[in-house]
Amino acid sequence: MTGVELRDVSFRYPTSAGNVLKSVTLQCRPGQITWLYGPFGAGASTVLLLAAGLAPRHTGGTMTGAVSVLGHPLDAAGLSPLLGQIGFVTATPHLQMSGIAATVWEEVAFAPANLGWPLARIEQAVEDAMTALGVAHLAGREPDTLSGGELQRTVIASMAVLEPAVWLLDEPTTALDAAGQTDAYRMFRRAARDGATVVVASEQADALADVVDRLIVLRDGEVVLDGDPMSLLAGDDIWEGGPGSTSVAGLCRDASRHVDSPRLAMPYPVTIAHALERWG
Amino acid sequence: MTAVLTFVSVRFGYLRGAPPVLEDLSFQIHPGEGAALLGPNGVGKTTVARLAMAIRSPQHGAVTTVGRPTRALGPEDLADAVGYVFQHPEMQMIERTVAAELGFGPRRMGWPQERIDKRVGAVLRELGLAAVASTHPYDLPVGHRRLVALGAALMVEPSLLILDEPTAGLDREARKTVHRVVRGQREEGTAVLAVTHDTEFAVEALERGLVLDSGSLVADGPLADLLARHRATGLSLPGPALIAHRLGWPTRSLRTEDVTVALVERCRQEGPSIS
Repeated sequence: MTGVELRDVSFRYPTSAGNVLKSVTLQCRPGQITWLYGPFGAGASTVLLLAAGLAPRHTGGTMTGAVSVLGHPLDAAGLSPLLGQIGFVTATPHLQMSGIAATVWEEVAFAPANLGWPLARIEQAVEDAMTALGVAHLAGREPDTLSGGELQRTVIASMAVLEPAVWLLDEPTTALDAAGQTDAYRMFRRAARDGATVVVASEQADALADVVDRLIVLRDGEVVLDGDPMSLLAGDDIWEGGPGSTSVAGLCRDASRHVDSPRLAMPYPVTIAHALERWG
Repeated sequence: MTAVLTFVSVRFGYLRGAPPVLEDLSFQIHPGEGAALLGPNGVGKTTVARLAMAIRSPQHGAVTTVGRPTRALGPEDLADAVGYVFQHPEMQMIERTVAAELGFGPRRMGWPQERIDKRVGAVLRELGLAAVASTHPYDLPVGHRRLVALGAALMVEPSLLILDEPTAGLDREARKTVHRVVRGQREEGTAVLAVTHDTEFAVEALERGLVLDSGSLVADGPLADLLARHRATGLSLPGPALIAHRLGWPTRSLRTEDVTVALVERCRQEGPSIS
């Protein structure tokens, strides 16, 4: 079964000049972290909104083609079969707090409580999620008093608490310090290992290169590359038709334009470890 | 040289009874200086930015911004000389188009329309936003909104730029734009204080690092040294700089441009036969 599937999907927002997605077909599989990568306007965030059932339902706009999540078509039949199965961390986490929780603990417990979980289960799940994201010490704080990084951790915990089958993550670690990023990606990895479909839209090539299983590159609303992350990031196509690779691959590629050396040949080193091995 | 921003023994806390966020914070920033304010989540970095912009006042000690003691001031009293990019740019956007958003501050300050239009045009070009001048800021990708906020901060040709995570969520092109713009501002004498976790931005556009922890500075020095040594904060150099550092390449700076030069030089010396 496919986690998230788009078949020949074209979509435009009410205010966009043309289609922001053009005949996109892609599949994100359970057990994998799939990275949607493309520069501004490429359509990665829009794919997440469609998969979450928020577009076109809440955004407006027009869509053709078919979107399905966990085998359920997201059509007029509605999202009810998927209730509690999809977690979404948006690129504006401060706008997705409930706004009615008095404490961070209540914020993280908000979705499970609304799904009617028994209290004991909620307590355990909230504690686990808060611990995993390093916000357990903030349990009693008013959400309004959190720093940007603490807030982003709390939003991730609020989603992780449901242990959803599909994780949709739009730039989920922009406000996190290095330790927080590590915690977050460790958690996404654990979810994938447990069978979840994890989809991340991000511009952070250096952070994602060695934590994802699959890379889908978008450009101007179209899928231009789809495959193994390391192979794609080590090549030239991702620069010529897409958003570029990691800073290490970029360093090697730029240097190769100035001097002809086997040390700079493709496949380019993608990570720091690759580079130290090749140039050390 | 007179400092553009001065903190003297600043103490500040949001909650009565709770330990203060900032305990005894002192530092100065001078014209043209670029300082990265570093440290883990929740340590008070954004609070420092708010104090500098007179959004908050210290409970003890003093903050002086562009020569003005902030105690009796609000942010509007600094708006003619200080640009501030919020961590969440949505929270500082009011107007219906990008161009109007950039003109908002100067309009409130009574600039003639002609001067506003001219400056808006120049800033839009500098940031590569000319094509979206009449777009609603909320119709832009989140990252682009951050560039709009930066544009608004640049309008008054500020003596001090306060940037809270200016590169978060930006794509490669936009990050390069921010690097270039911040360097350019500094060359013109603008002082920059930037809260950031992005060490690539820090190395490309700034040169001093202030590390905040437990209410005061635990380190203050050249960024390159600090990032290479300061394991305690969990910070590390960006990829290319780290490689140069580890392999002992002589570089003019740790900017990627200079690391590239060093790599090219090494490959030239070795000649084409070595693999």
